[in-house]
Amino acid sequence: MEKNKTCVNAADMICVGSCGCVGYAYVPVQEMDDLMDVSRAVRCGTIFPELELGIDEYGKVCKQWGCSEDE
Amino acid sequence: MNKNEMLYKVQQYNFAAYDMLLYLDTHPDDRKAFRMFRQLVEKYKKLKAEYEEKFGPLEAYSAADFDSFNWLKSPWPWERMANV
Repeated sequence: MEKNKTCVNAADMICVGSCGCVGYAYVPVQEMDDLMDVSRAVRCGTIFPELELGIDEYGKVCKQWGCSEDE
Repeated sequence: MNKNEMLYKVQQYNFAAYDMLLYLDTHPDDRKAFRMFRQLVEKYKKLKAEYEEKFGPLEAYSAADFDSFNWLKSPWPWERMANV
C-alpha cells in the first residue's frame, strides 16, 4: 500500500490485516455465504461456516480471505 | 418425534435465527440475510407452537394460550422426569 495513502474508512478498504494503519485493530467485514444446516450449527456454535474455527485452526487458517500459514 | 427431539428442533432454529439476528446487527441492509432471518424465525415459531400444543408452554406467556393455567405443571426442566 502506498506510503501516503490514508485509510478513509477501514470498512471499505477490502484489505487483509496489513492495511498499514498503525494502531488500528482491523476486523474484515464478514460477507455471508452459505449457511450450515441448523442441526450442525447448534453443535458448532455458529450458523456461518466461515466462522467455524477450531482452536487448532485459529491463527493459522483463514476461511474467507484466502491466506493461511501453509499457503 | 418425541418430546426431547421436538424440543431440540425448536432450540436449533432458535439458535440459528438468533445467530442471523447478530449478523443483521452489523449488516442491516443485507437483503439475503434478512430473507434467511425471516425463514428461520417462521420455522422456529411453527415448531415452538407445535411443541407447546403437545407438551405445554415453553415460556410463561404461552400459558395464556391454554384453557387453564398449566405453567406450574411438572416436570420442570431440572426435574428428573424432564431429562429422561
